[in-house]
Amino acid sequence: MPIAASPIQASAVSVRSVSRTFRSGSGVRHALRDVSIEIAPGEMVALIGPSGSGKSTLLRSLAGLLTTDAGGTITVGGRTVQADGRLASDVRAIRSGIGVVFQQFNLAERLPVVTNVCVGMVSRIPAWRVVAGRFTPAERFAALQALDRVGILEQAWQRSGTLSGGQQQRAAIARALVQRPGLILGDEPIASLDPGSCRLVMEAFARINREDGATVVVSLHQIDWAMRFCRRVIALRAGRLVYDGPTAGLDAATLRSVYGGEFHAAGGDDATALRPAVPAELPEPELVAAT
Amino acid sequence: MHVLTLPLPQHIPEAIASRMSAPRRGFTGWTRWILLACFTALMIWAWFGAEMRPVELALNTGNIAKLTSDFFPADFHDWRFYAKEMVVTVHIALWGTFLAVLAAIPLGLLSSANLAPWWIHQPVRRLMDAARAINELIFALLFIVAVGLGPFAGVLALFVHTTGILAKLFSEVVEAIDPRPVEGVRATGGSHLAEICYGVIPQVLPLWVSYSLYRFESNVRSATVIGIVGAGGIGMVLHDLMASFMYGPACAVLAIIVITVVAIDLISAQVRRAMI
Ligand SMILES: Nc1ncnc2c1ncn2[C@@H]1O[C@H](COP(=O)(O)OP(=O)(O)OP(=O)(O)O)[C@@H](O)[C@H]1O
Ligand SMILES: [Mg+2]
Repeated sequence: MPIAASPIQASAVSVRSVSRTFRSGSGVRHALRDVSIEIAPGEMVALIGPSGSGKSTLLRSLAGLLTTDAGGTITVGGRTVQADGRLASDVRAIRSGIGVVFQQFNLAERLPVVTNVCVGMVSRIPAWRVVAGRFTPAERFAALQALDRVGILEQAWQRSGTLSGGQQQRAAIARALVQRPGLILGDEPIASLDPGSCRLVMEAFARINREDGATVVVSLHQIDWAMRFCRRVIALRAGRLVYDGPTAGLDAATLRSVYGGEFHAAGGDDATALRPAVPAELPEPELVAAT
Repeated sequence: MHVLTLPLPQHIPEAIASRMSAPRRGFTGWTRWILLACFTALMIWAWFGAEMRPVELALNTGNIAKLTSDFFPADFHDWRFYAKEMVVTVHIALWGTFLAVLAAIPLGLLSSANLAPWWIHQPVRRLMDAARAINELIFALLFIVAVGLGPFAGVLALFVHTTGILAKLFSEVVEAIDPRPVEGVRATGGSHLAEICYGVIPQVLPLWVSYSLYRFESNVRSATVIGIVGAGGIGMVLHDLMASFMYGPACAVLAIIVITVVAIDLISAQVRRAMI
């Protein structure tokens, strides 16, 4: 039986008039244009939008990994991540309260899975133990417990690079879990996975949201996953917020306004016709038990 | 065997036809001839600078053959002494390389553009350039003045020069890493130190070890040479023998050097292969 975790303090997210411009040799790119979003503690939100719409830019800005243009403010759990184009001076401390799961996992492939998970705790341990790679039994236990929750306890001592994509992504979720974060961000966490792994990963997110109470924001390419797992959807197009509301309100017209012509060909006015890759009816989200 | 030949269609669209062969890149037309002329002029100039005299070489083959024959038969009478000095040479290379690896780890990280700001990595790189530009032989001469004749001067010479080389090699590996694992650590709130320990080092370690072993091999060779200027080891023995025209024993020393260097190269190459 996987172990359930004690609840944590969920974080509210507040994004106020945030813009981000990229200047390259040829010209200016507006990755985000005056985006404002309020997310209540404990929500599970899907972030959708076509390629290049600014999803990664928004999530990286939320995580304090990217600065935005002057004028905007981002707060997480009441603490300022960045304001007016400058990261907070205590951004590392704030980052430790935000778990991030990336599309390409971002694990050190040569290290054992359990070490990669322990990295989620490095912000809390003294420098000499960081260098020596010494984790206490309690820390190792927390890491193994997190691996058990995402169903890959078996692989704990395997080199991370030898795991399947879906297993690596769950290891990355375990790394975020041991941070005990009030907010978990996922940047297309299932974009490079097969449908079976997609389900396991999305269920892991749903379970952290449900059992631990963490706020979850996850960007997704396929709308059917958003519909299945999230009540609320935020849609970006060319850096602008074009929809923010319940998943149920996503009708064909809205989707066309998000994705443009791409969805015209897909079908008529029935929203379900716009989902060519709807997975077979899935049971209510529930995490696989690692037995 | 059944061979299928793909036929070329009668009509080829212009867009494809104009791309059927690779576009000409690099130097074309006049530039090409001018570059060739410059290269030729340079080589002619260098011919005189280097005092190239192939005719004399041909005329003196007799002398060379005579000198060569003086080396044989090799005189292994004192082989115990030579072997002992050879071991000293390997010891010099071991410590020179070991100290260099220790120094090159921080210096290599500090001269990586993706880890250190320009006002750190630029000065550190220039310092390493200097350490690399000056041959270990010259460092040996300097250290002999500082710490006296003997192996320790050799260790210091190899240490400084090898630090310059390894720091550059190490930083090149660091600059080629995948930034994503590093960002993964940063996203958890980890410090710079944590980013390096869990994001950078795991990626660069195999190549770092491989380069260090490779430098150890080269340093065994270099250690024989710096011995000639008095920095201890087998090189010093070789120098003394040659200076007193004792070619037979010198030949034995050369044989011992060759055997040792080849053996260490082989062992080290095996270890390096196992590392990657
Ligand atoms: N470092 C950068 N330099 C220049 N332009 C960038 C940079 N990062 C993002 N952009 C541009 O900003 C825009 C938004 O990019 P972003 O990666 O946020 O989109 P996305 O919605 O995540 O797309 P995808 O679904 O393909 O991942 C794009 O036009 C992109 O080219
Ligand atoms: Mg993206």
